[in-house]
Amino acid sequence: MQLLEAKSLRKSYGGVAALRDGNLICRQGKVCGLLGANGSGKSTFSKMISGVVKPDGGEIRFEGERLDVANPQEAQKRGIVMVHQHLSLVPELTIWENMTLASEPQGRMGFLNDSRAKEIAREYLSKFAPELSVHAKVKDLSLAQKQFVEIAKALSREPKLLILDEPTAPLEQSEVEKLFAVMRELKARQTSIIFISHRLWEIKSICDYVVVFRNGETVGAIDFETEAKDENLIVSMISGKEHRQIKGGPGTRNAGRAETMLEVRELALRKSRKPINFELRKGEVVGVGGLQGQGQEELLLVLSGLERPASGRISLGGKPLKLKHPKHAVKEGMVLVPGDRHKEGLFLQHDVLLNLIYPQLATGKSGLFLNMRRMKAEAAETIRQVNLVPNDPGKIVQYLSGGNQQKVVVGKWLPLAPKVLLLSDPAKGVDVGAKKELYDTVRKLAEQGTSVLLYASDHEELMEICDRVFIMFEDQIVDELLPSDYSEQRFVSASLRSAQAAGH
Amino acid sequence: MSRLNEQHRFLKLRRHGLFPIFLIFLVVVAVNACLQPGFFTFDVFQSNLASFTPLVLASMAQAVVILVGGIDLSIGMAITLSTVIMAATMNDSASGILLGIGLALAATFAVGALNGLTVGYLKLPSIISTFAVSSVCYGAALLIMPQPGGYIPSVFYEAYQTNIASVLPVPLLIILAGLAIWGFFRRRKIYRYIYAVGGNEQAAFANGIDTKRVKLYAFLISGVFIVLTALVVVAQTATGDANMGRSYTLNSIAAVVIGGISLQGGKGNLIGAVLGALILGFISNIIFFANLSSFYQDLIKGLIIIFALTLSILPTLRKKALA
Repeated sequence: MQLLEAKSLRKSYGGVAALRDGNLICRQGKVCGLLGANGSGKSTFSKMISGVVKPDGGEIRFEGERLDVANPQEAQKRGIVMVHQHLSLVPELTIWENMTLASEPQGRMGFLNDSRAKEIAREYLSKFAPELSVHAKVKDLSLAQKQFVEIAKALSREPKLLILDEPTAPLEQSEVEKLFAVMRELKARQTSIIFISHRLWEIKSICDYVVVFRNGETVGAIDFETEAKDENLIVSMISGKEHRQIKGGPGTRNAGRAETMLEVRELALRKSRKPINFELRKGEVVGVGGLQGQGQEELLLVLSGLERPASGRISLGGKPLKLKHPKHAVKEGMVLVPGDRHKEGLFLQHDVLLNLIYPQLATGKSGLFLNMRRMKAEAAETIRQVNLVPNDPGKIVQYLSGGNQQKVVVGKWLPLAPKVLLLSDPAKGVDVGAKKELYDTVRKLAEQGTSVLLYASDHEELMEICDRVFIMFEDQIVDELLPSDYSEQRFVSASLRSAQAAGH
Repeated sequence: MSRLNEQHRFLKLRRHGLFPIFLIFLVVVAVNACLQPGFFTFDVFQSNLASFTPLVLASMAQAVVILVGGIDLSIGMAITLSTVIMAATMNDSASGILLGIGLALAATFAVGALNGLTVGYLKLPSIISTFAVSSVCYGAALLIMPQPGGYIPSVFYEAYQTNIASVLPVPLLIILAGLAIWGFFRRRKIYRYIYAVGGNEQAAFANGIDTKRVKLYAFLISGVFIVLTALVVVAQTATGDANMGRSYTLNSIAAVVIGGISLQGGKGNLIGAVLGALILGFISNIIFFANLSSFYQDLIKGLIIIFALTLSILPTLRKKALA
């Protein structure tokens, strides 16, 4: 049974094709995995189906008839509801106000029926987060809670087709399972779902079939009900290349005897927390792992001068540092690739060249006039080093794919020859191919003597490239793993065992 | 147990968005009370209220537009246009009065529609397009009344001085009427859509809200308060003057911001705008009764406003530091 069929959808923005040829069939009561690298067109495609974006060409048929929706509200009336990747919640409104937004229950004479609205909100939210009050303001929620509110809101519209755009990105394993349970319940009620995710294990465990996008085109589909769930096949369909290992993984060089680059002593991230002690050797790649939100990001923020610790000493190359402003860290060669590249890492509406030269402008070595010729040459060199696609310094950063945007964030520091590179979950929302290239660049830097401190929410990433990994729990380092200890199980048990130990 | 409850209630109060504004309000009232003779007599209460009311209403008009994420630089001139139309067309007959008010309403809604169309449908930045509309209003007002004058029936200013049942001054009644109008909208969809569009326009659009129409409606609702302001202004001045209303534009913006409404939109409360306007009124009073030389008045007033603004945004600053 087909619920929806999309044929040859097209869309360009200012001459740049975001989608060239999008095709997909939604089967009744099945979960369709929509796969593809960042910038492959899958977001644009799903926005067309949900009425947010108008296609330049092509056809969508829904329940046998042509679907020509001009806006999201019309799509919702027909039964198509999308949960957006960049959440569509209004922070200043409460949960119940958000959940009934644009579908407010009305009473007599068009007055709002707020008590009914709260009932609806409570009913659907309880599937995910029964502990949350519907009166809480959305701005006070964690990212995972916001995601649940968003999904609960979509469910309250009783959709025939539910589109989930990377809904699991902010969720932890147990929360993902909760979502999957609800998705199975929906399936049983013959709801169709389009599920977008970069995590292969999720795809394999929840999808009935997958459709793969690459460079704005549908390149193929795999039916899990009749074909094998071949991970290598999926990856090569997504990337268009053979699956390959990262060059120079852990243990390929012996960094153990190198000189100490960064020394952290008695560093307390918060008052009343036990302090952290560790050192980073020259050319070493050290990971920071553990459950999410255990102070890993704060540690990086402190080291980059963006946040102040409660107490502690930090020295770089034997020299004590005063980190009262990010410029202090940058001047000493300790630079951050922040977690939210759109907000903290990039000037989205500027071109690649300008983004690459800002750090140099800020460190003040530029003199009275800017030496643009030198900077252009350096930018060209950086673009080559990080393998930016396309290799055009005039390209507006906004129009690059997520992976290439991240390369710009890393690349802008390269001309400063950083001593310590701090990376905060750099591969979040970056596709498989770009992730490998990103980590290739990181390893190359390490070989040239840069020390790297990497926080990643994904254990596999840490195991792939780190020389050793700290496990953090409640703002402290509670365990250290060496390559010989690396296994998913060991990571999970280290994170959890410490959780139990600290929880008495 | 009851003490715990009390503490809890106090904490809740402190976290309420209007708490700092209310504190500032109490401070200016206290200072005012020290300086202004007979502050607590009914007569002084009434005359203070009568002089603060126009800005209170203008600030409510401004607040609606700022809540939806815009700003309205045409408010002062829209008020002026309304007053000039009333002064030019009214006479003592009931039909004359109704005609004047009807024409003023029509003109104000036309101005609101022009603002709503340019900001909502043409997507022009409101800070420029409403400035242009302001110029249109001024031009129209000058055409209608090149020199100050016209006629305002005496019932207006007589009514404005009246106390209903000798305890309820009419200006207070008008402010309450303004709040009641807002209370009506509060129970309609448009109220929530204004906050949604101001708070996150893209999200509002993705939810299926017609964001353009919401902006248009916000300007039209704002127009209701503009007409109310104009009515109060003619009741006070009894003439029409094309050069009269300019100051309401920026003063209303200041009042709204002091009242805790975010200039980014989507955050705050119309009660805050009322308090903000009252605070500005009391500040003017304080300057006047402090017997300062008129050379210093504007200077001191500006500094006090900066101080009040800083206090009113203090809670948000502190929250950011913690986050």
